[in-house]
Amino acid sequence: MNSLEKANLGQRIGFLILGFDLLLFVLLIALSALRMMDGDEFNETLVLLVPLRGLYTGNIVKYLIADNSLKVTDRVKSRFYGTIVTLVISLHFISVIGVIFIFGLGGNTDLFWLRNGIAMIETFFGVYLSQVIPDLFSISKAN
Amino acid sequence: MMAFKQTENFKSRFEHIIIIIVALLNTTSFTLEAQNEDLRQYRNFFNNQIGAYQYWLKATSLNQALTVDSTRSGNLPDKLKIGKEMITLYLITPNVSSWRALKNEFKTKTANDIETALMEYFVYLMDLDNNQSSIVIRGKDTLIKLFYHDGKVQTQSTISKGEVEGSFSVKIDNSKFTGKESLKVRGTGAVVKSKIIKLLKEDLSKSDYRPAIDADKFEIKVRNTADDLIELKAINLTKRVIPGNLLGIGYYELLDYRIELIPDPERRERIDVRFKVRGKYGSGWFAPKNERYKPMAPRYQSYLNDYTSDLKDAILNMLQK
Repeated sequence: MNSLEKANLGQRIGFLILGFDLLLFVLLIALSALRMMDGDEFNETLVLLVPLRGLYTGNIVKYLIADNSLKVTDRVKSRFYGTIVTLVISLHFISVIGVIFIFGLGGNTDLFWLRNGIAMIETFFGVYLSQVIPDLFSISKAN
Repeated sequence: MMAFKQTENFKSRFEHIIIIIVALLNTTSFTLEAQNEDLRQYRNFFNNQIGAYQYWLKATSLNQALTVDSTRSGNLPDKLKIGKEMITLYLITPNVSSWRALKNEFKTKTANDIETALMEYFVYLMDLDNNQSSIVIRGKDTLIKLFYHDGKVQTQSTISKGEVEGSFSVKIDNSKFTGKESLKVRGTGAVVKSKIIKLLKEDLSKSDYRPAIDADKFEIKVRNTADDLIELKAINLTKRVIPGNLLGIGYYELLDYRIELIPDPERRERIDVRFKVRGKYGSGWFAPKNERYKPMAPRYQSYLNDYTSDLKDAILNMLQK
Protein backbone atom coordinates (compact mmCIF):
# COMPACT_ATOMS: atom_id res chain seq x y z
CA MET A 1 0.00 0.00 0.00
CA ASN A 2 1.58 3.24 -1.03
CA SER A 3 0.92 6.73 0.21
CA LEU A 4 -1.57 7.43 -2.55
CA GLU A 5 -3.72 4.58 -1.28
CA LYS A 6 -3.60 6.14 2.16
CA ALA A 7 -5.16 9.24 0.67
CA ASN A 8 -7.83 7.07 -0.92
CA LEU A 9 -8.55 5.39 2.42
CA GLY A 10 -8.92 8.80 4.06
CA GLN A 11 -11.24 9.93 1.32
CA ARG A 12 -13.30 6.74 1.49
CA ILE A 13 -13.72 6.96 5.24
CA GLY A 14 -14.33 10.68 4.97
CA PHE A 15 -17.26 10.13 2.63
CA LEU A 16 -18.51 7.24 4.78
CA ILE A 17 -18.61 9.56 7.80
CA LEU A 18 -20.29 12.36 5.87
CA GLY A 19 -22.85 9.80 4.66
CA PHE A 20 -23.60 8.73 8.22
CA ASP A 21 -23.74 12.38 9.21
CA LEU A 22 -26.35 13.01 6.55
CA LEU A 23 -28.28 9.94 7.67
CA LEU A 24 -28.27 11.25 11.25
CA PHE A 25 -29.59 14.58 10.01
CA VAL A 26 -32.35 12.92 8.00
CA LEU A 27 -33.21 10.69 10.96
CA LEU A 28 -33.60 13.68 13.29
CA ILE A 29 -35.83 15.48 10.79
CA ALA A 30 -37.91 12.34 10.25
CA LEU A 31 -38.33 11.65 13.97
CA SER A 32 -39.38 15.22 14.48
CA ALA A 33 -41.85 15.14 11.57
CA LEU A 34 -43.35 11.87 12.77
CA ARG A 35 -43.75 13.33 16.27
CA MET A 36 -41.45 10.65 17.63
CA MET A 37 -39.50 13.49 19.16
CA ASP A 38 -40.76 16.89 20.27
CA GLY A 39 -39.02 20.25 19.93
CA ASP A 40 -37.24 20.08 23.29
CA GLU A 41 -36.04 16.54 22.71
CA PHE A 42 -34.79 17.54 19.27
CA ASN A 43 -32.74 20.37 20.75
CA GLU A 44 -31.41 18.16 23.51
CA THR A 45 -30.32 15.53 20.99
CA LEU A 46 -28.49 18.15 18.94
CA VAL A 47 -26.58 19.17 22.06
CA LEU A 48 -25.71 15.55 22.78
CA LEU A 49 -24.35 15.17 19.27
CA VAL A 50 -21.95 18.10 19.54
CA PRO A 51 -18.94 16.02 20.78
CA LEU A 52 -19.50 13.43 18.06
CA ARG A 53 -19.61 15.99 15.31
CA GLY A 54 -16.77 17.99 16.82
CA LEU A 55 -14.62 14.89 16.67
CA TYR A 56 -15.34 14.02 13.05
CA THR A 57 -16.64 16.77 10.93
CA GLY A 58 -14.09 19.55 11.38
CA ASN A 59 -11.12 17.32 10.57
CA ILE A 60 -12.82 15.62 7.70
CA VAL A 61 -14.19 18.61 5.90
CA LYS A 62 -10.77 20.23 6.13
CA TYR A 63 -9.25 17.08 4.71
CA LEU A 64 -11.72 16.62 1.89
CA ILE A 65 -11.46 20.17 0.63
CA ALA A 66 -7.68 20.23 0.86
CA ASP A 67 -5.50 19.91 -2.17
CA ASN A 68 -4.81 16.27 -3.03
CA SER A 69 -1.05 16.68 -2.96
CA LEU A 70 -1.21 17.78 0.66
CA LYS A 71 -3.00 14.60 1.76
CA VAL A 72 0.00 12.43 1.12
CA THR A 73 1.89 11.56 4.27
CA ASP A 74 4.90 9.37 4.80
CA ARG A 75 3.25 6.71 6.95
CA VAL A 76 1.90 3.61 5.29
CA LYS A 77 -1.15 1.84 6.68
CA SER A 78 -2.07 -1.80 6.31
CA ARG A 79 -5.30 -3.09 4.80
CA PHE A 80 -6.21 -4.36 8.27
CA TYR A 81 -6.01 -0.81 9.58
CA GLY A 82 -8.44 0.34 6.89
CA THR A 83 -10.94 -2.42 7.68
CA ILE A 84 -10.83 -1.87 11.42
CA VAL A 85 -11.24 1.89 11.15
CA THR A 86 -14.18 1.53 8.74
CA LEU A 87 -15.79 -1.02 11.02
CA VAL A 88 -15.37 0.97 14.22
CA ILE A 89 -16.59 4.22 12.70
CA SER A 90 -19.64 2.45 11.20
CA LEU A 91 -20.34 0.79 14.53
CA HIS A 92 -20.06 4.13 16.30
CA PHE A 93 -22.54 5.82 14.01
CA ILE A 94 -24.90 2.86 13.85
CA SER A 95 -25.11 2.69 17.65
CA VAL A 96 -25.77 6.43 17.97
CA ILE A 97 -28.42 6.25 15.25
CA GLY A 98 -29.86 3.13 16.90
CA VAL A 99 -30.12 4.75 20.32
CA ILE A 100 -31.81 7.84 18.88
CA PHE A 101 -34.18 5.69 16.84
CA ILE A 102 -35.13 3.50 19.83
CA PHE A 103 -35.74 6.69 21.81
CA GLY A 104 -38.02 7.85 19.01
CA LEU A 105 -40.02 4.65 19.22
CA GLY A 106 -41.17 5.73 22.68
CA GLY A 107 -42.45 3.06 25.01
CA ASN A 108 -40.15 2.83 27.98
CA THR A 109 -37.56 5.36 26.93
CA ASP A 110 -37.17 8.94 28.09
CA LEU A 111 -34.62 11.74 27.80
CA PHE A 112 -32.60 10.37 30.70
CA TRP A 113 -32.28 7.09 28.86
CA LEU A 114 -31.17 8.88 25.67
CA ARG A 115 -28.53 10.91 27.52
CA ASN A 116 -27.15 7.80 29.19
CA GLY A 117 -27.13 5.86 25.94
CA ILE A 118 -25.24 8.48 23.98
CA ALA A 119 -22.83 9.16 26.87
CA MET A 120 -22.03 5.45 27.03
CA ILE A 121 -21.33 5.23 23.32
CA GLU A 122 -19.18 8.35 23.35
CA THR A 123 -17.11 7.03 26.24
CA PHE A 124 -16.68 3.66 24.64
CA PHE A 125 -15.67 4.83 21.16
CA GLY A 126 -14.37 8.29 22.04
CA VAL A 127 -10.78 7.56 23.07
CA TYR A 128 -10.09 5.28 20.15
CA LEU A 129 -11.53 7.60 17.56
CA SER A 130 -9.95 10.74 18.96
CA GLN A 131 -6.58 9.09 18.18
CA VAL A 132 -7.47 7.63 14.79
CA ILE A 133 -9.31 10.52 13.18
CA PRO A 134 -6.64 13.24 13.47
CA ASP A 135 -4.06 10.72 12.34
CA LEU A 136 -6.04 9.58 9.31
CA PHE A 137 -7.09 13.01 8.24
CA SER A 138 -3.91 14.90 8.84
CA ILE A 139 -2.83 17.30 6.14
CA SER A 140 0.78 18.10 5.61
CA LYS A 141 1.68 21.77 5.76
CA ALA A 142 1.97 23.32 2.33
CA ASN A 143 5.49 23.97 1.23
CA MET B 1 -108.87 68.28 50.50
CA MET B 2 -107.35 65.00 51.51
CA ALA B 3 -108.86 63.32 48.50
CA PHE B 4 -107.52 66.07 46.23
CA LYS B 5 -104.02 65.67 47.69
CA GLN B 6 -104.16 61.94 47.16
CA THR B 7 -105.21 62.42 43.55
CA GLU B 8 -102.38 64.93 43.15
CA ASN B 9 -100.00 62.45 44.68
CA PHE B 10 -101.24 59.69 42.46
CA LYS B 11 -100.92 61.99 39.47
CA SER B 12 -97.34 62.88 40.21
CA ARG B 13 -96.51 59.23 40.88
CA PHE B 14 -98.15 58.26 37.65
CA GLU B 15 -96.10 60.90 35.85
CA HIS B 16 -92.99 59.54 37.45
CA ILE B 17 -93.77 56.05 36.33
CA ILE B 18 -94.43 57.24 32.80
CA ILE B 19 -91.14 59.11 32.76
CA ILE B 20 -89.32 56.04 34.03
CA ILE B 21 -90.97 53.82 31.44
CA VAL B 22 -90.12 56.24 28.65
CA ALA B 23 -86.58 56.49 29.94
CA LEU B 24 -86.29 52.73 30.11
CA LEU B 25 -87.66 52.34 26.62
CA ASN B 26 -85.16 54.89 25.43
CA THR B 27 -82.27 53.08 27.04
CA THR B 28 -83.45 49.78 25.66
CA SER B 29 -83.70 51.14 22.18
CA PHE B 30 -80.32 52.78 22.57
CA THR B 31 -78.83 49.52 23.79
CA LEU B 32 -80.39 47.59 20.97
CA GLU B 33 -79.11 50.13 18.55
CA ALA B 34 -75.70 50.04 20.19
CA GLN B 35 -75.59 46.27 19.85
CA ASN B 36 -76.08 46.49 16.12
CA GLU B 37 -73.57 49.24 15.68
CA ASP B 38 -70.04 48.62 14.60
CA LEU B 39 -67.97 49.64 17.61
CA ARG B 40 -64.95 50.30 15.43
CA GLN B 41 -66.37 53.62 14.28
CA TYR B 42 -65.91 55.02 17.81
CA ARG B 43 -62.26 54.04 17.90
CA ASN B 44 -61.06 57.54 18.76
CA PHE B 45 -63.47 57.91 21.65
CA PHE B 46 -62.45 54.56 23.15
CA ASN B 47 -58.77 55.25 22.78
CA ASN B 48 -59.18 58.63 24.48
CA GLN B 49 -60.89 57.02 27.43
CA ILE B 50 -57.91 54.77 28.21
CA GLY B 51 -56.07 57.65 29.82
CA ALA B 52 -58.99 58.09 32.21
CA TYR B 53 -58.92 54.39 33.05
CA GLN B 54 -55.21 54.55 33.80
CA TYR B 55 -55.83 57.62 35.96
CA TRP B 56 -58.54 55.75 37.85
CA LEU B 57 -56.16 52.83 38.49
CA LYS B 58 -53.69 55.33 39.90
CA ALA B 59 -56.28 57.13 42.01
CA THR B 60 -57.48 53.86 43.55
CA SER B 61 -53.86 52.71 44.12
CA LEU B 62 -54.52 49.66 42.00
CA ASN B 63 -51.63 50.71 39.81
CA GLN B 64 -49.17 49.20 42.28
CA ALA B 65 -49.78 45.87 40.58
CA LEU B 66 -51.99 46.71 37.64
CA THR B 67 -51.46 49.05 34.72
CA VAL B 68 -52.78 49.50 31.23
CA ASP B 69 -50.55 47.43 29.00
CA SER B 70 -48.48 50.01 27.19
CA THR B 71 -45.86 47.48 26.13
CA ARG B 72 -48.11 46.27 23.36
CA SER B 73 -46.03 47.78 20.56
CA GLY B 74 -46.11 51.10 22.38
CA ASN B 75 -48.87 52.83 20.47
CA LEU B 76 -52.27 53.68 21.77
CA PRO B 77 -54.67 51.45 19.81
CA ASP B 78 -52.96 48.25 20.92
CA LYS B 79 -53.93 48.68 24.55
CA LEU B 80 -57.43 48.09 23.33
CA LYS B 81 -58.63 45.54 20.87
CA ILE B 82 -61.68 47.00 19.21
CA GLY B 83 -63.77 44.49 17.34
CA LYS B 84 -67.12 44.90 15.68
CA GLU B 85 -69.07 43.82 18.74
CA MET B 86 -66.46 43.49 21.44
CA ILE B 87 -63.81 45.62 23.07
CA THR B 88 -60.98 44.05 25.01
CA LEU B 89 -58.78 46.06 27.31
CA TYR B 90 -55.29 44.75 28.04
CA LEU B 91 -53.90 45.24 31.51
CA ILE B 92 -50.62 44.06 32.88
CA THR B 93 -49.64 42.66 36.27
CA PRO B 94 -46.14 41.52 37.32
CA ASN B 95 -47.11 37.96 38.21
CA VAL B 96 -49.87 35.85 39.64
CA SER B 97 -48.89 36.36 43.28
CA SER B 98 -48.92 40.15 43.06
CA TRP B 99 -52.32 39.94 41.36
CA ARG B 100 -53.64 37.75 44.16
CA ALA B 101 -52.22 40.10 46.82
CA LEU B 102 -53.87 43.06 45.12
CA LYS B 103 -57.12 41.17 44.87
CA ASN B 104 -57.13 40.31 48.59
CA GLU B 105 -56.18 43.84 49.57
CA PHE B 106 -58.99 45.27 47.49
CA LYS B 107 -61.45 42.81 49.01
CA THR B 108 -60.50 43.71 52.60
CA LYS B 109 -60.55 47.45 51.89
CA THR B 110 -63.76 47.69 49.92
CA ALA B 111 -65.56 44.37 50.46
CA ASN B 112 -65.95 44.18 46.69
CA ASP B 113 -64.40 41.96 44.09
CA ILE B 114 -61.67 43.61 42.13
CA GLU B 115 -62.84 41.87 38.96
CA THR B 116 -66.30 43.44 39.21
CA ALA B 117 -64.87 46.87 39.97
CA LEU B 118 -62.50 46.71 36.99
CA MET B 119 -65.23 45.60 34.62
CA GLU B 120 -67.87 48.03 35.88
CA TYR B 121 -65.63 51.04 35.55
CA PHE B 122 -64.50 49.93 32.10
CA VAL B 123 -68.09 49.51 30.92
CA TYR B 124 -69.07 52.87 32.44
CA LEU B 125 -66.13 54.74 30.97
CA MET B 126 -66.49 53.31 27.50
CA ASP B 127 -70.27 53.61 27.55
CA LEU B 128 -70.66 49.96 26.56
CA ASP B 129 -73.05 47.14 27.06
CA ASN B 130 -71.92 44.45 29.49
CA ASN B 131 -71.64 41.87 26.72
CA GLN B 132 -69.48 44.10 24.61
CA SER B 133 -66.61 44.29 27.03
CA SER B 134 -63.85 42.10 28.33
CA ILE B 135 -60.54 42.63 30.07
CA VAL B 136 -57.43 40.55 29.69
CA ILE B 137 -54.81 40.78 32.42
CA ARG B 138 -51.42 39.45 31.48
CA GLY B 139 -48.67 38.55 33.87
CA LYS B 140 -45.35 36.77 33.54
CA ASP B 141 -46.91 33.49 34.59
CA THR B 142 -50.61 34.08 34.20
CA LEU B 143 -53.40 35.16 31.91
CA ILE B 144 -56.70 36.27 33.41
CA LYS B 145 -59.78 37.00 31.36
CA LEU B 146 -62.73 38.94 32.74
CA PHE B 147 -66.08 39.00 30.98
CA TYR B 148 -69.79 39.24 31.69
CA HIS B 149 -71.98 36.19 31.65
CA ASP B 150 -75.57 36.24 32.84
CA GLY B 151 -75.06 39.71 34.24
CA LYS B 152 -72.20 38.62 36.48
CA VAL B 153 -68.50 39.16 36.03
CA GLN B 154 -66.81 35.83 35.31
CA THR B 155 -63.14 35.06 35.57
CA GLN B 156 -61.09 32.64 33.58
CA SER B 157 -57.53 32.40 34.72
CA THR B 158 -54.61 30.51 33.35
CA ILE B 159 -51.42 29.81 35.15
CA SER B 160 -48.84 28.82 32.61
CA LYS B 161 -48.08 25.35 33.81
CA GLY B 162 -50.14 23.38 31.39
CA GLU B 163 -53.48 23.81 33.05
CA VAL B 164 -56.54 26.01 32.73
CA GLU B 165 -58.78 26.95 35.61
CA GLY B 166 -62.07 28.75 35.51
CA SER B 167 -65.62 28.85 36.69
CA PHE B 168 -69.01 29.65 35.28
CA SER B 169 -72.59 29.53 36.38
CA VAL B 170 -75.27 27.61 34.47
CA LYS B 171 -79.01 27.94 34.58
CA ILE B 172 -80.09 24.40 33.94
CA ASP B 173 -82.87 23.77 31.49
CA ASN B 174 -85.14 21.28 33.24
CA SER B 175 -86.66 20.07 30.01
CA LYS B 176 -83.33 18.48 29.11
CA PHE B 177 -83.68 16.02 31.97
CA THR B 178 -86.48 13.54 31.73
CA GLY B 179 -87.49 10.24 33.33
CA LYS B 180 -84.82 8.66 35.48
CA GLU B 181 -82.50 11.56 34.89
CA SER B 182 -85.01 14.05 36.29
CA LEU B 183 -83.57 16.57 38.69
CA LYS B 184 -86.30 15.84 41.20
CA VAL B 185 -85.40 12.16 41.33
CA ARG B 186 -81.65 12.40 41.64
CA GLY B 187 -80.77 15.95 42.70
CA THR B 188 -78.84 18.47 40.63
CA GLY B 189 -75.27 17.39 41.42
CA ALA B 190 -75.66 13.74 40.48
CA VAL B 191 -77.55 14.45 37.28
CA VAL B 192 -75.19 17.12 36.03
CA LYS B 193 -72.22 14.97 36.97
CA SER B 194 -73.38 12.01 34.92
CA LYS B 195 -74.23 14.28 31.99
CA ILE B 196 -70.80 15.90 31.98
CA ILE B 197 -69.02 12.55 32.30
CA LYS B 198 -71.06 11.21 29.40
CA LEU B 199 -70.22 14.29 27.32
CA LEU B 200 -66.49 13.97 28.04
CA LYS B 201 -66.45 10.23 27.38
CA GLU B 202 -68.30 10.55 24.11
CA ASP B 203 -66.07 13.35 22.94
CA LEU B 204 -62.78 11.77 23.95
CA SER B 205 -63.68 8.34 22.58
CA LYS B 206 -64.17 9.65 19.04
CA SER B 207 -62.08 7.69 16.56
CA ASP B 208 -60.32 10.90 15.44
CA TYR B 209 -58.58 11.07 18.78
CA ARG B 210 -57.46 7.45 18.89
CA PRO B 211 -53.78 7.03 18.11
CA ALA B 212 -53.05 4.93 15.02
CA ILE B 213 -50.47 2.91 16.94
CA ASP B 214 -51.07 1.58 20.43
CA ALA B 215 -54.77 2.36 20.13
CA ASP B 216 -55.48 -0.25 22.82
CA LYS B 217 -53.53 1.82 25.35
CA PHE B 218 -56.13 4.56 25.13
CA GLU B 219 -58.01 4.74 28.41
CA ILE B 220 -60.49 6.92 30.28
CA LYS B 221 -60.40 6.65 34.04
CA VAL B 222 -63.20 8.12 36.15
CA ARG B 223 -62.45 8.32 39.84
CA ASN B 224 -65.25 7.48 42.23
CA THR B 225 -66.06 10.70 43.99
CA ALA B 226 -68.94 12.51 45.62
CA ASP B 227 -71.85 13.82 43.54
CA ASP B 228 -70.41 17.29 43.32
CA LEU B 229 -66.99 16.34 41.99
CA ILE B 230 -65.76 14.88 38.72
CA GLU B 231 -62.25 13.55 38.43
CA LEU B 232 -61.55 12.11 35.03
CA LYS B 233 -58.33 11.23 33.27
CA ALA B 234 -57.89 10.41 29.60
CA ILE B 235 -54.64 8.69 28.71
CA ASN B 236 -52.92 8.12 25.36
CA LEU B 237 -55.23 9.95 23.04
CA THR B 238 -54.01 12.11 20.19
CA LYS B 239 -54.80 15.40 18.46
CA ARG B 240 -57.59 16.34 20.89
CA VAL B 241 -55.83 19.49 22.09
CA ILE B 242 -52.72 19.86 19.94
CA PRO B 243 -53.54 19.47 16.25
CA GLY B 244 -51.51 17.21 14.01
CA ASN B 245 -48.59 18.51 11.95
CA LEU B 246 -48.48 18.79 8.15
CA LEU B 247 -48.42 15.01 7.88
CA GLY B 248 -51.45 14.78 10.14
CA ILE B 249 -49.46 13.18 12.93
CA GLY B 250 -50.01 14.32 16.50
CA TYR B 251 -48.43 13.78 19.88
CA TYR B 252 -49.84 11.46 22.49
CA GLU B 253 -51.90 13.44 25.00
CA LEU B 254 -52.92 13.01 28.59
CA LEU B 255 -55.80 15.10 29.90
CA ASP B 256 -56.76 15.44 33.51
CA TYR B 257 -60.08 17.01 34.50
CA ARG B 258 -61.29 18.17 37.86
CA ILE B 259 -64.76 19.66 37.79
CA GLU B 260 -66.61 20.82 40.89
CA LEU B 261 -70.35 21.30 40.76
CA ILE B 262 -71.76 23.65 43.32
CA PRO B 263 -75.57 23.85 43.28
CA ASP B 264 -77.10 27.13 44.30
CA PRO B 265 -78.87 26.36 47.60
CA GLU B 266 -81.68 28.83 46.90
CA ARG B 267 -82.42 28.12 43.28
CA ARG B 268 -82.17 24.51 42.40
CA GLU B 269 -81.87 25.00 38.69
CA ARG B 270 -78.68 27.06 38.95
CA ILE B 271 -75.30 25.48 39.40
CA ASP B 272 -71.77 26.84 39.62
CA VAL B 273 -69.19 24.85 37.72
CA ARG B 274 -65.54 25.17 38.66
CA PHE B 275 -63.13 23.40 36.41
CA LYS B 276 -59.47 22.68 36.09
CA VAL B 277 -58.08 20.97 33.01
CA ARG B 278 -54.49 19.83 32.88
CA GLY B 279 -52.84 18.74 29.69
CA LYS B 280 -49.65 16.85 29.00
CA TYR B 281 -48.14 15.62 25.76
CA GLY B 282 -45.59 13.03 24.88
CA SER B 283 -43.68 12.00 21.79
CA GLY B 284 -42.95 8.55 20.44
CA TRP B 285 -44.02 6.01 17.86
CA PHE B 286 -45.53 3.89 20.61
CA ALA B 287 -47.40 5.38 23.56
CA PRO B 288 -44.84 6.85 25.94
CA LYS B 289 -44.53 5.92 29.58
CA ASN B 290 -45.78 8.45 32.12
CA GLU B 291 -42.37 10.02 32.76
CA ARG B 292 -42.07 11.05 29.14
CA TYR B 293 -45.28 13.08 29.25
CA LYS B 294 -44.62 16.76 29.83
CA PRO B 295 -46.92 19.73 30.55
CA MET B 296 -48.38 21.52 27.53
CA ALA B 297 -47.17 24.87 28.92
CA PRO B 298 -45.72 27.04 27.65
CA ARG B 299 -45.35 25.68 24.10
CA TYR B 300 -48.93 24.47 23.65
CA GLN B 301 -50.75 26.46 26.35
CA SER B 302 -52.83 28.39 23.82
CA TYR B 303 -54.25 25.14 22.39
CA LEU B 304 -55.22 24.06 25.88
CA ASN B 305 -56.91 27.42 26.47
CA ASP B 306 -58.89 27.04 23.25
CA TYR B 307 -59.87 23.49 24.10
CA THR B 308 -61.07 24.50 27.55
CA SER B 309 -63.22 27.31 26.26
CA ASP B 310 -64.77 24.91 23.71
CA LEU B 311 -65.43 22.44 26.50
CA LYS B 312 -67.09 25.15 28.54
CA ASP B 313 -69.35 26.03 25.64
CA ALA B 314 -70.23 22.37 25.14
CA ILE B 315 -71.21 22.00 28.80
CA LEU B 316 -73.27 25.19 28.66
CA ASN B 317 -75.01 24.02 25.49
CA MET B 318 -75.82 20.70 27.05
CA LEU B 319 -77.31 22.10 30.24
CA GLN B 320 -79.15 25.17 29.11
CA LYS B 321 -81.24 26.32 26.19
